[in-house]
Amino acid sequence: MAGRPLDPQGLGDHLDRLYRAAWALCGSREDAEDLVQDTYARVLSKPRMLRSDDDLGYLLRVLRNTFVSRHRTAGRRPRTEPFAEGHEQADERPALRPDAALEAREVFGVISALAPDFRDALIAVDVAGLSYREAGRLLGAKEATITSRLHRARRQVAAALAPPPEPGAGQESPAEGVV
Amino acid sequence: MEEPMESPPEYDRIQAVMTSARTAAPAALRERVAAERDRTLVRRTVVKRMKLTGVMAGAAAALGVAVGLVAPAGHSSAPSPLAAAALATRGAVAGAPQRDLAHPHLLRVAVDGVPFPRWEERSPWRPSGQRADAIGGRTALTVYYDDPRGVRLGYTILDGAALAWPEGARRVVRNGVEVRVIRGHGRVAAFWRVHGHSCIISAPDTVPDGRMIALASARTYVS
Repeated sequence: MAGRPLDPQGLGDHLDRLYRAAWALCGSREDAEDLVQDTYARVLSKPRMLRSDDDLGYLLRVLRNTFVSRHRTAGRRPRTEPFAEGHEQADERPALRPDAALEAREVFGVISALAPDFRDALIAVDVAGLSYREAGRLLGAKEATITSRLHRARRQVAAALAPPPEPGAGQESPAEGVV
Repeated sequence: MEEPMESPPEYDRIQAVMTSARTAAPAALRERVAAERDRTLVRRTVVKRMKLTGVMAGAAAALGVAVGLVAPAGHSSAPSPLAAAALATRGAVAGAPQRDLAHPHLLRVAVDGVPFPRWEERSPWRPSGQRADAIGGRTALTVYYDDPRGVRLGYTILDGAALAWPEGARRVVRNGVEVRVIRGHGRVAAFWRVHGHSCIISAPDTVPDGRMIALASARTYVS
């Protein structure tokens, strides 16, 4: 099947979605920036031929591979404790104010702690905006599998971010574990 | 159906956070990625030019051998006309040149002010590609023209002084232009001079002499 060259000029169009996906993979903005930059450097290192029109799917695949390979490399090094995330500016938009506002770093932190299969399905569909079919192609899984993983991932994220029960409230069944 | 299972009711709010403007890529990252992309584009352009230069150097080296074999004694520095004509049998390395908008009968490429003709309105030959070669210290530019049957001829102009006429060629004067035509090895070539420069058309030998002479002597060049 004939391919088409990947146009470097158009790669910037996907930067936001790639960055969000990286943040959700790493759980840290700083690591996400490094991961996205590494991904672009890898993609741009030589001319690429794509077999489909799905530039974003291709970029996400490289992002994920780069993340996995960094993770493996990091696993062979002594672990260091990261500094705490910097203070985020307050969100001025009324929709997310005041008390129920969630910080993006909390949300992405929870996603990054999911089991890899659930995490990747949620990132592909909810963070990067791929269709179920595209996500299935990216992750090498059937659409039904993606649907199931996504459903469970959403429940786990919602449970992990649920506000703690009011003191004195009735005992409820414990939320499903994050992983 | 893409959503067969209900999401938790609070999940919409969580997803809105994921895709909010606050989670967009920071400006510093945009700049770094743009710089990486620009560096790549420049690097690729340079590599492409180096490859093209390499092709030309290779062609010149190969032709150096050919010139050594073909050039007559006493003309060691000048390429032989037959070696120059042989350039047309090499393939195009670039697309067809554009027409000269100010002069509709010319293309927008020239050697030392001698332009290549555009014949489309008078004959079936249309430009299809071009190549540049170095031969015997000269630069030779060849433009290829195709006719509707797929016959391709090469039109070569060399810089510097005119080459010697090929030995054994038939001499014809048409429209005040002296043309020499020679056949051999399945090819036919016509040689003539414009403003002191050698011009050569080389074609398969199915093209008749009359056609070659007509093309060579066409009044394209306006002094």
